[in-house]
Amino acid sequence: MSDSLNISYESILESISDGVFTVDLNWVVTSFNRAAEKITGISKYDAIGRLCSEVFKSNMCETACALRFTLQNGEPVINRTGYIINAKGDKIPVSVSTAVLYNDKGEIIGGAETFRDLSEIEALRKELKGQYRTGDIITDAPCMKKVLDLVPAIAASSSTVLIEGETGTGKEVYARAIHGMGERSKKPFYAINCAAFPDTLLESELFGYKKGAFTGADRDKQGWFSVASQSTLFLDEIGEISPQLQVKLLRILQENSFQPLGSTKSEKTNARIIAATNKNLKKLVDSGKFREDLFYRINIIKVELPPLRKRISDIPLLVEHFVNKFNIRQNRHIKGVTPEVLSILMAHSWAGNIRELENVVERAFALCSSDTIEKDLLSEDLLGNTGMYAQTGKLDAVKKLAQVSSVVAALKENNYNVPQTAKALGVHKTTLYRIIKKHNISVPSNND
Amino acid sequence: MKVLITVWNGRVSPVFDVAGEAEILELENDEIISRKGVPFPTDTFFNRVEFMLSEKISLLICGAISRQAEMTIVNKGITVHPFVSGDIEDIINALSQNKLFEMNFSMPGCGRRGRCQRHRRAGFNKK
Repeated sequence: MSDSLNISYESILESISDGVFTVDLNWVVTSFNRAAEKITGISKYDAIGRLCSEVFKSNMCETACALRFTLQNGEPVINRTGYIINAKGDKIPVSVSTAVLYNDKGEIIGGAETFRDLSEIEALRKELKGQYRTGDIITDAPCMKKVLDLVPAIAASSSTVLIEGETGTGKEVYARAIHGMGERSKKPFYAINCAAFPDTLLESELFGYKKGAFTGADRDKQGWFSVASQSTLFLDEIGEISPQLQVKLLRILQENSFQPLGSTKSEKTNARIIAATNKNLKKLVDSGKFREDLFYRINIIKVELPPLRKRISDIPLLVEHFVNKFNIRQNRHIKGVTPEVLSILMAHSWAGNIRELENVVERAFALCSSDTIEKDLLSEDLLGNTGMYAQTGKLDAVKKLAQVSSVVAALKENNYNVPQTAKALGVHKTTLYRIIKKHNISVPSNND
Repeated sequence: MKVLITVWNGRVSPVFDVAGEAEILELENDEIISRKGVPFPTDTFFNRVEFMLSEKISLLICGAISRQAEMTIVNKGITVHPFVSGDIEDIINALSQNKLFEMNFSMPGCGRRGRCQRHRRAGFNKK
């Protein structure tokens, strides 16, 4: 009878979608179900007999262990949230619940912990609230690593930031990551696209107005500089604002004060300004379209986001991310794209950058009736732009293309100076020489 | 060479990102010339990195670490040996005998050739 009960319990544990593990009184794992294996990426064989903290790897283990609380107080913990780190180094948000385990005599023999993977819920929550941290920026490219490395330092300061990058390179996501890591992260992030408003409307949006300031101003209205006074204000497409507004913006940046339309008094703001543009602001200054003094006020910390064509190795990661995202949104289970599709995507020039890639994946996703996105779901303009590696459709070729393209782009950017390029790519120069030799990449011989 | 090991209950702490204590060792010709236990900043990740840089740490030995955190630390010039588990004294002994990389101190699911080990970075002379 007891054996059959044990078998039933085990079958139940194996069939549920929540991870479950049990520990003895020495915190050693004594059982580990299939869902636990899936969520943690650790096999039952590896987990049993090891300390639970070293198996579970949660931020709760050291200071807020739910199992410890339960075994010390005899009370269960329900849905405590935290994260675990899986074998790949991914942070997986989880909720945990715990219970005490007793033997036949009523003695405590250990504890049980169930945990649920909240990745999907967390992804939806982030998307809805627009909260991002650097870990949410999908990248593995060396050129992006350099840019991401700056975020903690930028977040810790209150200086104005200028983000330059082509359209669709993720300027707002980057700005949100800065906000999310800084001391203002608990306050909302405000984003305004300066190109989306006519000049007069933009002025009233930014600075606000007093009742009677103009026809139709029947009440006072707060401007964004006032609303975001203790938070972060993201001014996208800053290069589009008129010379008149540039003067007012300069005053805000110099004096932290502004005057709402129709007001006789100045108001103070402590908003942290992050400006972004898809244009080269310095060139706009040179051509007289942007004030030089304002440029230097904005250009205190400048970050340049690389276009997608310079981070081709990120395309597989981004495609996987978008497929997952649409799976969650549309409750589907598409596994991904074929290697051939991936190679076509990696051969494309991506003038619209990540936004364009997302749209391409979304289109193919919507048209996909099987569990994998095939080549025929891509639009004609993509299919007409396949490179030599795209023809082969083999993963090795895709990887080679990514590596060669990244190296060639970096070499060009660094005037074929190999040590300098190696530094930019974050690899040792010997490694770069090996890659150059392996793929027969042409480098002018007078440069080293 | 200065080494920082995150510590919890006499073992390598399970998660770097929240570790509250550390041991700092100074090695010269594989001999430990100094050792001290220190509180490890827990307020922000940025402060952790700053702390390691101010202590001139060149090797970090830790348990699980998020990819982003590891990437940032490596980019600051610190070699990271992550997903290590075990008694801190055993780790230090192995380190002083230059056998840390030979002996298996991997966390569960991170065998010597397991996935977690891919995070190990070049730059540390393991001899």
